Amino acid sequence: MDISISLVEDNKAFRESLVQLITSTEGFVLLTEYGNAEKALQLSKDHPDIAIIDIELPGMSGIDLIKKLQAENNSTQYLVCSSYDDDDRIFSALQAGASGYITKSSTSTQIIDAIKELYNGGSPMSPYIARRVIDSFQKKKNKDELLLSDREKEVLQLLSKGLLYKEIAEQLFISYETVKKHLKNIYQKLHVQNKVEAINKFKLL
Amino acid sequence: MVFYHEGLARWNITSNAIEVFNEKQGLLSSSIYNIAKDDKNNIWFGTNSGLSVFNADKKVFINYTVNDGIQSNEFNGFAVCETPRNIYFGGVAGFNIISKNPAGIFKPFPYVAISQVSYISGNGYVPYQNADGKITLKNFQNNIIINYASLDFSTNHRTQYAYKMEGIDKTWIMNGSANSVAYTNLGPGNYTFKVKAVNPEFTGEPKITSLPIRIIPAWYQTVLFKILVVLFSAFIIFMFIRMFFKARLKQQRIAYERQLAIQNERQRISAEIHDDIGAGLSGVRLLTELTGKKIENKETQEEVNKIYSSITDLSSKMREVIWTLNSSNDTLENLLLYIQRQAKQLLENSNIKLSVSMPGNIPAIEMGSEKRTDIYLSVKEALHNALKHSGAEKVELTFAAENNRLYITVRDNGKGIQSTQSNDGNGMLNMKKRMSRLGGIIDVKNDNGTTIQFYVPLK
Repeated sequence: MDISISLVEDNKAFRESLVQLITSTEGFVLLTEYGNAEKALQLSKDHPDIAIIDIELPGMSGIDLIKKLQAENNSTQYLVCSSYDDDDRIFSALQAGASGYITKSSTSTQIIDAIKELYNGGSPMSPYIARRVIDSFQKKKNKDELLLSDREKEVLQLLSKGLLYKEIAEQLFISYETVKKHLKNIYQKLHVQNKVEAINKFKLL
Repeated sequence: MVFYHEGLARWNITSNAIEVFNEKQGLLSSSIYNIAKDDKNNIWFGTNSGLSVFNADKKVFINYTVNDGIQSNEFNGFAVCETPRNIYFGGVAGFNIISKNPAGIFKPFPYVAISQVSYISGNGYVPYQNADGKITLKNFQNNIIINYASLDFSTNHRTQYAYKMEGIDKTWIMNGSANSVAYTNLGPGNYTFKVKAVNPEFTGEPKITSLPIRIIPAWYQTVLFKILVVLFSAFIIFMFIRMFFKARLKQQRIAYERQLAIQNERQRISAEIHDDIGAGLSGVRLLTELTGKKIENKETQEEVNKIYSSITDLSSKMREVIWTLNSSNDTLENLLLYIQRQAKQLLENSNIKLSVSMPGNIPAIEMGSEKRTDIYLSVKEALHNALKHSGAEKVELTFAAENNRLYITVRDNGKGIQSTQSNDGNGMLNMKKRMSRLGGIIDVKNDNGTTIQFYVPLK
């Protein structure tokens, strides 16, 4: 079963290389490619398994694009692409509905792994992003908001300190898979958190 | 009582003491010609300088001269005659009759009246005219003369006076028989002029006459004016200080704005480089990598790999420059995370296991791009050494921020640094130079490998 992928990337050279990567990798299929967000609004009609979306796009930003596409609800998972991985916008993208990210300095192997992992239900996260997640949950102290469980908090803390998933599993006496599952849940809470925020905002209107 | 040409001697019968009186005690002259006593126990003397009467209790003499109407100042010796009512003293020009019951010689203090107060105006004195009994003068009318006289006409020219201006004189001032006193340049204020008769022969309490005098201050002498001057001066000083601070603030603001402009420019350059060139370079790199994988010919693959390495280096350096230029990275937290990321990247394809220890809470401290770059490149150099020269299996990277200092440790378990290598190499020199530029310290130790510690002051 091939993984179908769509691209939204404005830099021609980089888009070309991604196309090259996807087409030359077994198990990957290139579905569609777009040069800007406006054109990519119809991406949901394509129904790709994975959509790689550049954060920095002319016109509408990648984050807004993800928000719009997410709302149309489908099984597409979004991988956001940025130039460096300490970008605050990555976190916003994750909140908007992205489930993982790659950087433009990633190697082909790293990109391929990220796509595969996402497809298989994983949720990659860096120490920087882990910090941001912790901060974000700390700020929301409302009653009807979803909070992180203690275990999830532990995982995030260790991650923010720079431990690998493996090391986290060792330290908390849980399995590698469990660590990844916790991360997936955290992401989901992030998304829900965002949705709840949106709903609350709507209620106030 | 005995008299002779040397004065008067008094012999106290009961105590057997003898006192001598002469000019010093007020006796008109020591040459005494006549002596008699009146009914009031006063002793009268005719001397060669006038007539003198002595009160034994008060030990006071009153003297009369020709001016007072006696026949002459010279009396004749033994020329005394007494009747029941009078004493007759003879002198060279006639004789004087003295009542044995004289009234008003040793009498109570007379009242002294102040007859006039005048002030200088122009070239002369102007009498102060005012009906209400108070003296109120303007500030330029402050040179005054006060005239007074005792209301005792009989001894008027012999009344002795003393005066005191409350507010000026601290004590009573004797004025002899003068009937006036002058004050010059009186400052504004309230005074009380007092005058009294002080003759020793007067009995009882002296009657003090008081006259309140007020000099009105000129407008520039008033308290209100003085307060206003102080307030005004304070205000002026305040304005000056304020001006100074405002100017300084303005200077600071200009400097700050200039800095901001520089930062914005950097940001702009960084963004421009990064957008197109950065992304494009990444694309080329990826393509090269993919192409390399496809090539079967070993030699060609080697060459393509070289191209790939070059591009990777180039890309990496460019990203470093962009990181430096981007002012949103001007924080301690950003620096530490960046170093961590770069360290991971540096060592991920090697046999070295990297472990990083980061403080749970990184203080929010600003750090400019020069400082960030210096620290980053120093640590990078240390890591590079560990990678290339140490032959180690493990590298520990530790960060700590406390006591306003940043501590970074790079520790490997390799073969340690030989002293030939250590202090001479370019890398080490650069590290030292960078650290000293930051006001920090670099410390190199050998223990089961190499440990390099960086201390950098924060703030």
